[in-house]
Amino acid sequence: MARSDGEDPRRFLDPKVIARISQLDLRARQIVEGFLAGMHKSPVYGQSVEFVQHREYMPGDDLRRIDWKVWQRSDKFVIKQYEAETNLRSYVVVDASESMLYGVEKHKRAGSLHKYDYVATAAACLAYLTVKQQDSCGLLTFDSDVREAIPPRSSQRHMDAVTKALQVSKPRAKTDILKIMRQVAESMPGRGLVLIFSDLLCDREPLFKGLEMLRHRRHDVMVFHILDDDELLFPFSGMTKFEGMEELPDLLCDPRALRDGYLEELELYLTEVRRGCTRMGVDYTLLRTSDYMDAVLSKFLYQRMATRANPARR
Amino acid sequence: MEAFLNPTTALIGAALVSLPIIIHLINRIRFRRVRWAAMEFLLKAQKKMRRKKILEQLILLLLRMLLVALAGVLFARFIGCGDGSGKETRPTTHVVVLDDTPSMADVGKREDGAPTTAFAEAKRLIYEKLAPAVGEATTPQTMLIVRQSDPDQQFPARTKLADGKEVPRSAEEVRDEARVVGRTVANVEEYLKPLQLSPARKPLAGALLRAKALFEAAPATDARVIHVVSDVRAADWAADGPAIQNLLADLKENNVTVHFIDVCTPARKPDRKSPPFNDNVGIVEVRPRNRVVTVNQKTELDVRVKNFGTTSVRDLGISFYLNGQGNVITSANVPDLPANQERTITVEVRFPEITNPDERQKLGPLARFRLLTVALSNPEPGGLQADNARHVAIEVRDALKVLVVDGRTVEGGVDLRTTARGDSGFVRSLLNTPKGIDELGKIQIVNGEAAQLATTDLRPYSVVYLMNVPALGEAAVKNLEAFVAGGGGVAAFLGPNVKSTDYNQLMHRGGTGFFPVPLANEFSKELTAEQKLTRTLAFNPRLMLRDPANRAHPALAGIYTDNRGREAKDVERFFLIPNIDHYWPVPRRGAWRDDRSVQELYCLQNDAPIGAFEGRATDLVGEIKKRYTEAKFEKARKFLDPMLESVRRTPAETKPLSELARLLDDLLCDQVSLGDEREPVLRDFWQQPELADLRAKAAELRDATKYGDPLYVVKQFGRGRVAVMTTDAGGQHGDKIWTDWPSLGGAGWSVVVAEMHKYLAGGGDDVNRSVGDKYAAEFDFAKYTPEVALTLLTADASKPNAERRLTWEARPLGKIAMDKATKAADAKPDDPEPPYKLSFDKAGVPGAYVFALTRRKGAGPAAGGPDALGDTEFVSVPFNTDSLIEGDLRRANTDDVAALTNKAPLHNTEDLKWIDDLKQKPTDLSSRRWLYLLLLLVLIAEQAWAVRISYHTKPEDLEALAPSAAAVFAHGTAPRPAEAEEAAPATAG
Repeated sequence: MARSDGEDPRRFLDPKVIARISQLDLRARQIVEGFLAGMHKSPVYGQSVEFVQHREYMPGDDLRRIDWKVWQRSDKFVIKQYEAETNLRSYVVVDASESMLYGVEKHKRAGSLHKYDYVATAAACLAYLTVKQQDSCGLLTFDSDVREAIPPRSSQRHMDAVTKALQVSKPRAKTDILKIMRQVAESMPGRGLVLIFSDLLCDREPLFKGLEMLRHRRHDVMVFHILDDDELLFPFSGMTKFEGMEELPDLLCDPRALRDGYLEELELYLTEVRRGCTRMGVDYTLLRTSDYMDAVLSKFLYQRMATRANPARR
Repeated sequence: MEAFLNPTTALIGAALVSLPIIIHLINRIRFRRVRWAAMEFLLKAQKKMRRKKILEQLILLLLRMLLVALAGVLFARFIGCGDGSGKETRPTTHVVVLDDTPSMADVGKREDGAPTTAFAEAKRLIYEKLAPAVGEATTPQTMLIVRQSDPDQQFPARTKLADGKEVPRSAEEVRDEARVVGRTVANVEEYLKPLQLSPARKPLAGALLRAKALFEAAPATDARVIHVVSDVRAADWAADGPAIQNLLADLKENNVTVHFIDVCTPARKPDRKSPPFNDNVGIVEVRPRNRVVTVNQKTELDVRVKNFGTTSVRDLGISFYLNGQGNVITSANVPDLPANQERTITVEVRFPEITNPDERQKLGPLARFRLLTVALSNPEPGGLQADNARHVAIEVRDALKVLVVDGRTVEGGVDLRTTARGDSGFVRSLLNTPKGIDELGKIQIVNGEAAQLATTDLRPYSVVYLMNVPALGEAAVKNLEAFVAGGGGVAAFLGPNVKSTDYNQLMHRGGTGFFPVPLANEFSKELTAEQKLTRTLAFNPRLMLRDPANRAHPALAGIYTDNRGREAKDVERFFLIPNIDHYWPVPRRGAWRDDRSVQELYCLQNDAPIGAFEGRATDLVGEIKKRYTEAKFEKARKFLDPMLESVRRTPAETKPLSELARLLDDLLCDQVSLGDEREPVLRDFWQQPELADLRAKAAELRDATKYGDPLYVVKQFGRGRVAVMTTDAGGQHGDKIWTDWPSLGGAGWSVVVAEMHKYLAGGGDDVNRSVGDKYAAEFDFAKYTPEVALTLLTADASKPNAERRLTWEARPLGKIAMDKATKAADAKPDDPEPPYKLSFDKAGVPGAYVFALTRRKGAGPAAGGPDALGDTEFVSVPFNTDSLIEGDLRRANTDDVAALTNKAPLHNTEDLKWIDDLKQKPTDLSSRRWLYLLLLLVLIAEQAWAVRISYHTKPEDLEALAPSAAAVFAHGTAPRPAEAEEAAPATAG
């Protein structure tokens, strides 16, 4: 992997975006397991201030947890249960396959972000936010294989490693999402938050299998589906030879003639992905490279925060 | 490339047709490269839409190619493909046949209401439309104009004047002048404008024949077009249709395109097959009873007028002008002339002596001719003027010579020719009576002898009487035959001296001679006293009309017509008295019966015994009774039964045969008028088709019983006439007479013989000649010099002055030469020279053409004293407008013309689009609106199709095709699928 010298890895930490989202929290939508006491709910009832419920005493229970005030009133032994709080262990999974590199030159000329830069920036910002709220955040970039893997940490210094990892992970080769998901699932011992940034230009079956696997491990999975404007609008005209990335064949055609069919196929694909994610309880967000990232992330974070107040979403 | 006026542009256009394909191919070569991630969708789209897109693109490509092709066709000026029929691009020879016959004077109105004639329209069409259109053609064009009245005279002329002489021009010279350029068009106009209608009618076939010859002389590579500019009259096509049809077929075989242009007004419409036409009345014939008369002799003139129109004409006045002077002969009037009918009126005319010495001197020898012009006094408005007048010339002599040849001249020292006992006594008396002079003219009787007939110059005589002439020598017969054939008349009265064998052998010659009938070997036997008594008691007509229709025969018409021109009644009552005891029987049946030139006018009654017909009468009655049993004949049976019974019974009785003939006449009801209730029933009975054979049988029996041997037979021989009485003229033979008919005075003999004389003297050229027809005659080589002086006597009947006088003239037309026929190769040296042949067909003006033949010295009359006719002999021949055909202005039915012309196009003067084809220029598609319309439609279709299948960035389009993608752009939420919404709660938490 060639390191791209002369480019600051920290450029992924866009101050404007950071400033916009720093007031927000990245909340896991479900209960997480962590080794530190944090801001997230733990599946373990422990010593905490957050009363949850009473339960009838059962032999073997710690006598210290008996609510004597209830015994005094009702002559029954009930135990007080408190909700334990833990920190969030999250994984940012970034697709670094070749397809993510679409329109590099065009975006460079326009001064805009291409897909990889966009997701790298978004990933870095969310990682920063995570670390800032005392949660631990790991990073994994992949194409056909894992390119960079940084285990979750919650220290500030950890961000440097994350941004560097994003920097070095120049997109290449083909996406193998199932393999990566399995690896992520296996590398996360407890329940955590998995943020997947990808254009998902891969086969749907392994994608859904991978997501299924993560969900099976009770991870809170969020998919950020990034597509270029060109991929959404297909604005090409004139005879064009489309050279397939990721080992796909080339096609010489009049793009105007195929636009309707392309858009129909795109719609089918997007619908299928969205349906699949929705079915598995995966948060799905479709991004386009021309979207304002701060606005998108803010919106996303607001939505996440709102889920906490909504028990039905648990 | 012949299909395009601009072949270069066509080539460029053809190349440009491939432009869309080339652009398509270039586009395929010149593509840009895009590294693309979402190939999956693209490949799927391409797979799914491939066929549809290929088809769409193909349609677009074809539309664009069609667009370019249409533009190419437009700019290259496509004129059609195939053999170029209708869009001729070869050099072309045009022959215009201009109908200039009299009917083209038919008056009509132009579109602007101005009066015009068909001929004026025809000329205008040629020099204003046809010639300029031909002149605009892109290829060399040649145009020749042929006049129908005189096909030999063409434009450009075939001769030219060189040193004051007319010399023929070479074919190249004629073609050069006929080549149509601007100058030629002016020449055509110059030629046509002063052109006048010809009074001659010539069939179209002649002009077509001439056109065919012109086409044959044209270069073989030329296209050939014939334009027949005519009034397309029904009469023309009825007369010449088959000939025209054959010639047109011939022309078609020679690849000649034929156009008929009807120039009559109102224009011929496609929806009216028989176009309207103008009414017209014309004099179709003027026939004098005698062509040679004496001064103040009463003669008659038959004038036939015809109404060709569709409405009847009343009080049609007819005026007569003698040498241009009116009021000499009383005008006549036709009170009513129904549509499409003709009337013949007979007027009595006399020709007075020319009293004006100046006129006599001016005319010289021609003063003997009187030009009689007959004209309509009140001609119909519109219609033709040319047929409103007709001319005829009558020769007026001081006296008419009659040659009387007696069989017996001197008998017992007495010149029988001076007595009534002679063979010609009664005839001579008749011709010299004052009444005879009035009716027959002043007649100079010349005694002739049979022996000298061979050498006698018979031309001065109007009639030759052969009175009981025993026989004639071969030369005499030949001389007589020539005389009769030339228009003379011969009367033969047969007495006992006649040698029937000689008559049959020399004069009848089995029907080829001038004598009309063969004679029996012996004359009839004398009747017994008993038979004579029976004949007297029967009180039947002794002679009778052989055919009731004979009443109208020229030799009898005067007898059966009263002074007012009506039918005279009871004429035959005179025939009850005369007795004809002897006659020369004529075989009842024979070839002469079938000879149409021979007519039996009177016959004797049948003297056969009645018993001889008993069997035939019984058979007839039996057969009728067998056939009349049908119910429908019930009424007829009531009348037939007593009549049939009489017919059956009468032959068995001792009644004269005439009684049986009368009964059969009554039975047949076809010659007598019964005047009672039986008549309609019987006529209806005999008119039944199934009884036709029975009726013929009955009529045959009736004729056999009724009519005896022929008494009075006439024959038309050549231009002359022959009359034969099978009995003599009342001469006395010993103590017997053959007939007492002439001597009875009041028995009608003089009337019959006077009419016979008029009939015989009225022979001559009876042909109703039209201007342009050919007159042909032969003249004896030994008697005439070959040069013939020609004089035209004519008058302009259209402009009588206040004194009712016409402008008339005797116009010398110079001399023509008679043709001398060469002797036959096997002729002997001493054989006579063949006769001169006079042929004349150049009559260009209606009138009487007088041919003056000069006799050779010593060829005068051999006997008979000085010749009253001098050294010059005249023949007058009238030529008039062909009123019968030209006066009939009915226009031919369009379908009939199409059938006869094999559907050759028949144009009118209003729709002249076809003339544009002659220009050859504007025949390309750029002159057609539909090409532009098609171009526009293809353009719109191409644009619409291109827009339909091309990329367009309308937001709603994205919304429709990919709502999920559209939602991202709208920062909205993509619509959730129903099933996803259902699945979400299940998997959540």
